[in-house]
Amino acid sequence: MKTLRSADMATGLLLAILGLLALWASSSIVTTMEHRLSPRALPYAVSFLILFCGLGIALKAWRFRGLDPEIKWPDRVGIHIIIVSLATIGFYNAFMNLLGLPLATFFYITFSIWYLNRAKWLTALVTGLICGISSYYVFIRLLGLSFPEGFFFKG
Amino acid sequence: MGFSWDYLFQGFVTALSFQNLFWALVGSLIGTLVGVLPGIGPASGIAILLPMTTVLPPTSAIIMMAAIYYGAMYGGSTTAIVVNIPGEASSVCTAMDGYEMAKQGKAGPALAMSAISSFFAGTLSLVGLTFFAPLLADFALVFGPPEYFALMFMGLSLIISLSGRALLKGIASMAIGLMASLIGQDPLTGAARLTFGTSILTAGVDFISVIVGLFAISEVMINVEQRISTISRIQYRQLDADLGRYQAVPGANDPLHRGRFLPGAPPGVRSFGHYLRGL
Repeated sequence: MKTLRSADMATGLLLAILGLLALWASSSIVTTMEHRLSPRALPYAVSFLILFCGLGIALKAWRFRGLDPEIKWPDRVGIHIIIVSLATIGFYNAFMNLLGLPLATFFYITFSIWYLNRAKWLTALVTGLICGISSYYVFIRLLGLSFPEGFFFKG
Repeated sequence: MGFSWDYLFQGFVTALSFQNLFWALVGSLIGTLVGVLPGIGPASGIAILLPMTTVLPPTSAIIMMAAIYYGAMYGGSTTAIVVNIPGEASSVCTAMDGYEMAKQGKAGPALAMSAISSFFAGTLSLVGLTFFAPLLADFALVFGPPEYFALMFMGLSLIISLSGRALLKGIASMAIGLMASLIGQDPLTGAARLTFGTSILTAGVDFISVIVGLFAISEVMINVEQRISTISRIQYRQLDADLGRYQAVPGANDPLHRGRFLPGAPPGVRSFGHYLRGL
């Protein structure tokens, strides 16, 4: 997928697969009664739209014979950073209920600053601490939002 | 009850008292702060800050709540311009051009234009509401499902027209958005659509989660990959100097003063409509 043409072909095929998956998911919608408009109608229509658009994009790219611009994809280090950053967001989300918002925010911010900026661990630690405590006071205490407090702040 | 100038002047006298102006200022400040947070829109902002208004007299409380609403509506555009995170559906268009301006060191004019256009739109719509409310109420009563369908169809067509020559990609992206909105309970029959038997998806996919994922996460990933901090790229030092010089941006005046009346349309459709008209 070095060029726009190949990227479009791949995107089109992926969209077509998504359309097929959506068709399969739409066919499994359970209808209990006879309705004038079945709840499957709109999902079917949208699934077909995605499928045909995907095939159309792939076919159009395959037939294209003009100037094909190159796409600048992330290098190996860039991909590594993206994967680690996404994994960190995933962990932050996964451990939110267990640790609570303040503690999860503290770990997330500290690690992200240390990893991405290669900052001194003390700077990362202090920033993480400030963000964790502020998130508790702003979102939970001041705004009263229903974020998990975690065992550390519950007592 | 017919229209009476006396009631209007009486309203102005009440609204322009020092106490009520003070609570309007407080409300707009808090509303702007709340609106900056993605996911907390004007309605939820009012719901969260409702206890603060219970200690005030009824008129001041209503004025403060209205100020919170307007502040929150405007606050969403700040994060849209500065960090490409639209807090509201109506701020998506602001993020498209505002963030690009911010990257060129024009965050100041973008924020100023956003503030001034918010003021104009809010004031014009309020004047319109004051004088044409009975007419609009009659019109709202005849606004049925076919009209809503036409309006939604127009909104979707506008989004596709944003894609320009890449029509298929535009239709595909619209269809993916529609598919995401189909997840959850069918409003007519109550059947669970595309939930794969999980209860989490029964309530549907939250709109704010989708736009934060599309705009914020992708922007963060681009920045971490390039190891560039977005904040440092935007030249904040120019902010003070540029604020108020919005006219430096060519062609800013026409869209800014243009009317924003589109009855019945949600804010997203309205802003996209006017954005596309300006292209």
